[in-house]
Amino acid sequence: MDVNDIHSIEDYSPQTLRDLIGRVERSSTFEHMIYRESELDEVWRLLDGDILSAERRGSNAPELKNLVALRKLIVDAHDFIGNDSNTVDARDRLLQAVERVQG
Amino acid sequence: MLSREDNDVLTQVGKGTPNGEMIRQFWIPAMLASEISEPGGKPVRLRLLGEDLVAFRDSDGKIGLLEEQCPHRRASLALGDNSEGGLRCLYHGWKFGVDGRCMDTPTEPEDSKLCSRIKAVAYPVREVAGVIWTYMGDPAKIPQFPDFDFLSYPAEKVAAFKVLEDCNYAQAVEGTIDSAHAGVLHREQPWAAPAKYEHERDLRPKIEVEYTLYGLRYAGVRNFREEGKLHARVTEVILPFFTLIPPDGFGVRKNRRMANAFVPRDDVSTWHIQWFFDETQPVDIEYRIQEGGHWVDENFRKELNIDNWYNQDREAMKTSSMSGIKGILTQDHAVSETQGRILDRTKEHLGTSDVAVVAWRRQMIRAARTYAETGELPGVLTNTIPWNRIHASTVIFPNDRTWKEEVPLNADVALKA
Repeated sequence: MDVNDIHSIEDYSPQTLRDLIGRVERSSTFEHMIYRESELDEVWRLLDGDILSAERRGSNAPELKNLVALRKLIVDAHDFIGNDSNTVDARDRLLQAVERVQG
Repeated sequence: MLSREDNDVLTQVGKGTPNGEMIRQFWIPAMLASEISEPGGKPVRLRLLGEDLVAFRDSDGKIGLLEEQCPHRRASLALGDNSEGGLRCLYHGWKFGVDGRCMDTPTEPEDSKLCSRIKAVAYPVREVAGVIWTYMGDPAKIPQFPDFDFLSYPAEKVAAFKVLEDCNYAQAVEGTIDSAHAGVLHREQPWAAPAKYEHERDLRPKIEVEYTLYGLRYAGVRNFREEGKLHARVTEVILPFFTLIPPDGFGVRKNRRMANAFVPRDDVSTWHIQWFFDETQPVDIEYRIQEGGHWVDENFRKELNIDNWYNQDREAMKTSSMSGIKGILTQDHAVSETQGRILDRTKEHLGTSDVAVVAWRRQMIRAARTYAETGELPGVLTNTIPWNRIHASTVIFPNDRTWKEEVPLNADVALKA
């Protein structure tokens, strides 16, 4: 698992998030943090798109609420990494995100 | 992407804001020396970091940078009389020296002590390589001056330009730490035509970042046209808003060594100070103006600007240019200015090519918050930085090596995690 590079993020499936957690746990330098932040940017972007689509579809409130809550966890993890290099709290938020995706 | 709160920290530069206070701890380029070249000449109004100032060269040739408003009744000192070693307000004749000291209050009683108790806000200045620099921070903490080596070049081998950019400084900085855009925005062919240069052929450089005590450096690494070789352009990014741009490496452009300072005028506009330098030959100023598009009016506003939509030429876009906009600088300003006066980073979507942008933002936000909390800056001011050894570079090297091995960072400026 190379933490010295940005990994492509195609979705926010439990496996993708677990892989990301693994890289977060092994990240220690400032450079690692910006790579992880960039990966979290991509998860954030995917969720933005899905929330927008759900709103346009008129999705039911629980589904939309779940997506919005998921995005909040990702944004929190993103800011813990970006602002404070805080991998512990970022990992915690990502674990909560995995649980939420698994339903 | 940034949260609203982080975006505010990054973009707000006024007195009392975290970032504004942090930026004030650096020497910053304020204006061209040519704007006030004549001793006793016309004072010039200048906005910097949201503060309205007046610059003047007194009758003895000394430079003053004062708060524009007279401490007495707040009339503009830029209207004043610049003679006999000071600037005299037109309203009641109060006079101030370059250090802000009150020299005369002619409408007060002869025995008045008012003058000795009054001082105009004055900032220290230095005139270096055609530019007047100032320090607007804590007078007890005047930092090391950034002695970049090009600042000591002979006058004919370094040329400074100044152009107003109609947007927040941060997005202007970000435009120059984004290697990937060069092969698109500055492409000297229509999109569908074969690429002319290396960076136009390979649009997907791998961006790698290394933090330093003065900021960061990053490389855009591409496959070189020769088998087994890589090509890297290493850009230096120096806090708070300086960038040193590497030469193109192919000898395409003349005098192609460049440094930028994106000095916040206020939250929604920027003084783009740009130096071209060449230790091998004089800088061809007319050539630089033509290539860059540095055509400006008396207020340093571009002739090609957002109000005339940069005179974008749709026909040229079909024949000779991706952008249809004349001048590399104008092209850069066009994309930065059309992001909005203050880019809303909560709405953008970053890709892997934006990693240097992410790194710079984080470093700025961290520095601003650290300064707000501790009164100290990480790295830059607490260490002796060898400014004259910071160089941007372009390197071609075997693909079993890295750019960091080719251009090793001085150990004394390496940042430890």
